[in-house]
Amino acid sequence: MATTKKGGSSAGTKGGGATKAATKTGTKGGAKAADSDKTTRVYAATMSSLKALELTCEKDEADLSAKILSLQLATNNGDDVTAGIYQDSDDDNLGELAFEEYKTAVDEQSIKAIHQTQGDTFLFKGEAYVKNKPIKLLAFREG
Amino acid sequence: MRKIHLSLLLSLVAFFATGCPQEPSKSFNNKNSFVSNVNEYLAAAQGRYEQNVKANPDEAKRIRNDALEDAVAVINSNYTEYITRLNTRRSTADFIADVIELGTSATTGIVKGERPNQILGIALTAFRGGRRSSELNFYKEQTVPLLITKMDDNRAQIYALILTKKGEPVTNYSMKEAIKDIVDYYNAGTLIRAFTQLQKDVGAQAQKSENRVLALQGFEVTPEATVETRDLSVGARRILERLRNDLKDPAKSAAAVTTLQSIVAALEADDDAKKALEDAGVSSSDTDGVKLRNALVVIRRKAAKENNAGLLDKINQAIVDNEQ
Repeated sequence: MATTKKGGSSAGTKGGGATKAATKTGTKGGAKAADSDKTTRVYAATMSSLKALELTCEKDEADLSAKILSLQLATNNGDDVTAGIYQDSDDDNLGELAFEEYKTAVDEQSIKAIHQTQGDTFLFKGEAYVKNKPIKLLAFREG
Repeated sequence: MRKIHLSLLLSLVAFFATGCPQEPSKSFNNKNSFVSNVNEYLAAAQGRYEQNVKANPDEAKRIRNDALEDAVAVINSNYTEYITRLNTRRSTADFIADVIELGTSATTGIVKGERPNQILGIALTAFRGGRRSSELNFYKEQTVPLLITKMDDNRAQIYALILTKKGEPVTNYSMKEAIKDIVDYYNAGTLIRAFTQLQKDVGAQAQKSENRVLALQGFEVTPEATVETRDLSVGARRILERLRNDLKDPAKSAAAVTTLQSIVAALEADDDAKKALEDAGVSSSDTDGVKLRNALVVIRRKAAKENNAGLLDKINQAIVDNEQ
């Protein structure tokens, strides 16, 4: 049983140890070299829930010693994926992330207002695949 | 005289637009009357405009703007009645889908530089009305509210343009252009235009969405985290954050260095981790706390970027296990 203090992690990679550099991104408008302090992470469209995506991004922030900048829809070798962009940052004590799905501008404003009252910091608007469906999300840093 | 024309227009529109609900729209049946009355009114305005455009541009501008407002008022009245019928479904057969546009002959006339009144005559008689209600009735139940919204949007856009142009002198905004805008304004409130504009909007949005999608190649998919794996990683990061702060505190820095040496020593027992530490240029015998900590940050980050979960877990576990 994995635990925070003593247990081993169950996270694994398919064919683990692959060494594909995750620092080059491209757009349909042409390849674009990412900044050296930025890392692109790719998440499967089959992500089980928005909460699972939130946990995964928190883990990546921790392991990369980085801050998340954005989440957006992408394709990877033609497959639908969610791309997360992170920027190296070892100087801050990062709080936990909170992702919220929204559908309309009214949703967006009300969710922002709720988090503001809780002292959370709004990070960005993004999009992600959850259970193979694209959703719109708001990302906050818990205060 | 202008008021008489306007009153006549409004009366005709009101009469035709408020027909018996069980009957097809009289206004549509008398579409040509509506058009011909607009034509007549604008032709008169055009005549007065031409008389003043050189000698008294300000008066010509006033005539142009009055004509715009009068025509907009009549078109608004017509549109309001039309929307009311669509909304209340009082007349199912009255699903007006006409569109008025400048015909080819009118365009040709303008290109050939005909006299203004002739151009106007050509333009207005070239208005083409096309009724497509038979094809569109099928969609009425689902689409009417959407189409009305789109028509409102289209009309607002054209009207905003008209309002902006009204401030322009006659040299920049001629009567002919004003009439074209009136025609555009009318057409903006038709179902055909709503359909075509919606089609354009959807196409543009689809293209916009497509462009927003990153096209990546060869990235390894990062596995979904569990609560346990996330907690281990976050726990290790928090320890590293605390050690960073402790190294800056003279009262705590020695203990922080000892902790870091313990972590590195634990990792040196593993071949993969030892290799990573060597690559980073540190060992457990180092006494520079900042160097040790930075090396841990670097090898963790590298393992994460390479999706080397095995090594990453060992590093995180060593950090958590050797926290003091």
